[in-house]
Amino acid sequence: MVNKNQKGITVIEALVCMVIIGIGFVAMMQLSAYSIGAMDRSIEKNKMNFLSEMVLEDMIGDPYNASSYANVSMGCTYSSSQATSLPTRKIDKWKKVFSEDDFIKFNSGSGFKNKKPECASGDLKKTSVVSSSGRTQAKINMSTGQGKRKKFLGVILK
Amino acid sequence: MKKNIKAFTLAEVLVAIVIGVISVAAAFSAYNYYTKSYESVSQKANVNSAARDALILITKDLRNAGFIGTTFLTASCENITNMRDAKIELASVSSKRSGPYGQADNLMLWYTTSPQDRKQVSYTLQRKQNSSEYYLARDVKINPEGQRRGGCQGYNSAFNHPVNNELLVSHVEDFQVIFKDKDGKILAPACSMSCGPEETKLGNNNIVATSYGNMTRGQANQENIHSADIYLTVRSPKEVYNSNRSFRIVNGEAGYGSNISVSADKYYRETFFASVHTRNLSIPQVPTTNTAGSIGEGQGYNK
Repeated sequence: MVNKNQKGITVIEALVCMVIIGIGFVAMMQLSAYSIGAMDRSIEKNKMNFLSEMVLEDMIGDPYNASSYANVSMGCTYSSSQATSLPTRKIDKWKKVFSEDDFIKFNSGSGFKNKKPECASGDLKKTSVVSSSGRTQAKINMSTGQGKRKKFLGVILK
Repeated sequence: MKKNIKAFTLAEVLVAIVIGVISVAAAFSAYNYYTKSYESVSQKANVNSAARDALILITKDLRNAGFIGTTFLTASCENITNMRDAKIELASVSSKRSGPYGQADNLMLWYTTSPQDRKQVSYTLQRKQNSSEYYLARDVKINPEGQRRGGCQGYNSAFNHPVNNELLVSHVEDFQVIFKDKDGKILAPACSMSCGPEETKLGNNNIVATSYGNMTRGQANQENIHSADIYLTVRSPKEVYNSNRSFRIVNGEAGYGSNISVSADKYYRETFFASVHTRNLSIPQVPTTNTAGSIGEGQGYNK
């Protein structure tokens, strides 16, 4: 015989309690998953920063042809072009490096694939060169997160 | 049997245990999963920061490479004639290559740091003791040429060899440096003394007339280096992936760079790239005093 007067919590109450705790638990898990993901993405963004330094370094090395480096857009994919001069060779290299073509490939069972950097449609890497009153400035504009986050890196060439 | 005892029934206890075990198991597996992914991301982050720090150092050295200060004393223990010959050296010849896959380059460069002192910096892949792992090592010697000839006063090996193959990045699989001239074409070989087989192949074309007199092709090429591409491929110290994957590492242009096939394992690999404008190797043509604003304002570079 079950004594109906026992003081205690019913199974239903206990289950409801567990569900509530479970929701909190899942939220905590999602938080840590998000923070790990954010770390991973920041590694990728960091890479873009270093690659944009490469672009400026190349322009610093050839300040008298600065106009040849203006308005170059680097997208998510690379197709080789016939390069014959220093600017065209450098630009070809930028496009190749930004899309990480040919650097390192991995095969997890279904053929070799390129390691693609994080690059969404709407992301932009574009150079700009401005000359005024004897001074030439170069800039690389980057927008990531489908164009939401914008930043640039710039230098005075001469 | 007395029916009024206040207690849980066996069935209630069993249900409670089952629910408890399931929730503990869920918490444990979730914890396990996040620790693993945190571990793999932090491995990636470590590999990235170590490699980037190393590239910053290499970049700095390459920018200085070949610099001979205008205040450098010709009477110092370093011989000015030798200095002109020895600016930068890239051992990219098959017999001189190193690393776990035998395709990595050795880079050595020189620049003056004071009116008396000249620094020699070299980057090589060195094998760890009792291990098959290689690390990128940086070695610094002060006044190496004077010491070799026994011409330096107060010679002290501890002072003159401040950095002895110090570890810069561990678990390095490939290190490539490719020099380009002012037109962006590959310059090879580049060496201070003799490049060996690579030059021998050139036969009679090996001796080139330069503004400093006749030189070997490798020595003459030192004067024409306008930029350098650096590739560094690093592996994570611990396993990262759940399943095996094989890698192909292709650094630099075919024939000058590397092409390595890595058999399947669970490590993370990444290639880091930097491009350097070597300010002190290919010297801009010195402008005439009438037009020049500064020494860097030459219109062209020596061919």
